Amino acid sequence: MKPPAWTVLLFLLADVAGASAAARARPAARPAASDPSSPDVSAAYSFLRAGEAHLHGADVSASFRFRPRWRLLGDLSLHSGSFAGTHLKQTNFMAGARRLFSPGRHWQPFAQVMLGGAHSTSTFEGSEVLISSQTSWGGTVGLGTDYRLSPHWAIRGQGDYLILHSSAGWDGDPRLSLGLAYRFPR
Amino acid sequence: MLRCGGGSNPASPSGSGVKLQGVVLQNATGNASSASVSARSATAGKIVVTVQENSSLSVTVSGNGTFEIQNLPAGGFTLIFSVNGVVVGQITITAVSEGTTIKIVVKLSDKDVELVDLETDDDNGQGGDQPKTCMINGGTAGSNIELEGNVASGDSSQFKMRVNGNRAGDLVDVAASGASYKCNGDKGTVDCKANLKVGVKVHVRGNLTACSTSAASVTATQVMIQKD
Repeated sequence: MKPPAWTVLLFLLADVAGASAAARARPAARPAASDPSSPDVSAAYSFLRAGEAHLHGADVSASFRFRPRWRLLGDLSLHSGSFAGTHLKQTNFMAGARRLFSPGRHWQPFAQVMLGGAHSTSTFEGSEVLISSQTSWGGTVGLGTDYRLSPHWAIRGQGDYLILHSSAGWDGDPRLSLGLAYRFPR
Repeated sequence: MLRCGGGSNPASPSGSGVKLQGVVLQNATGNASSASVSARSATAGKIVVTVQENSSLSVTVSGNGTFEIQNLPAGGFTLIFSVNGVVVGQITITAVSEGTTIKIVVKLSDKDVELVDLETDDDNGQGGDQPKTCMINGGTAGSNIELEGNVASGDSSQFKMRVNGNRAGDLVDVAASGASYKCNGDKGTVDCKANLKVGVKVHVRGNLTACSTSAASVTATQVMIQKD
């Protein structure tokens, strides 16, 4: 059974509070990175400029280590919005690799490259309902960073540039995401 | 949005003039009932929209069908739609004042282009906040106008039409006794005129002689009967 949202929130707060107390007890210590080889997941608010439209939505991803400083990842994002009276939706599904750079006291910057696709749907509801859909293929390059709050939790911000090809030609769409990342204990 | 494939020129050095935001629905299909829909993936290729009055104003439509053109001439303009370099149709928009943002929805097939919806958003305070006086979006009494829709009643000399999308609040009266008729791109003939029946799709070009919030009358100069 899926736990209610408030239990997840309590868990998150307890985890962060516990980490803060530990940090106060050891003021010189930096938030210990949990085992860097353990998998992580993230969930974020995401903004996508798709064509001329500004879309908002969510981005979830998961990654695991496959070489030192390298992680494999999968990413799924869903965005929606309206433009010129038409409702637009876009789903991006990507997989690729993430390169971790030397971490700072709290910061863990990274760069990533992914390949995949995007499915967009445009719906106009007037006296009749019209729907047009399109699937594009391509990839994304991006940069981001984690700001570690605790051994397991971090704030993650990232920017990607989606390069997609369809029968209509090439599109280049920027995407910005801000959310939380959780690294599982080993 | 950056178009990687070239041809795009959404230039807007001064930010003045008329701005157009549009969505192209490619090979979209639908149903008159809002509860029922059907969809079709696009098969069309690269779509380019060019302004007839200034061919340097040209944009490539993005993968999700959105496009934007700025610095359009006030008064009116004609948009030419081409797919893979082949012109498939055009749409003329009239009675546009400076500073207006126009939002259009266009349905594009392999053979023609159809204006589904048009809304205006006047940024210069000359209309956006004022009460609406004409039931046709983008319509001004005494100005030229183009409408697309279906014949609801009447005959080739006088009929009522239901305008596509949300552009008009009610049926529009069309006086067409003096209009030239064209059928599917052919030259008008008496036989073509006879094809005007209830339910057929028409493109009407003419003058909006009167318009209120509840009624509108157009004196047509040309009636094009579209292929189903």
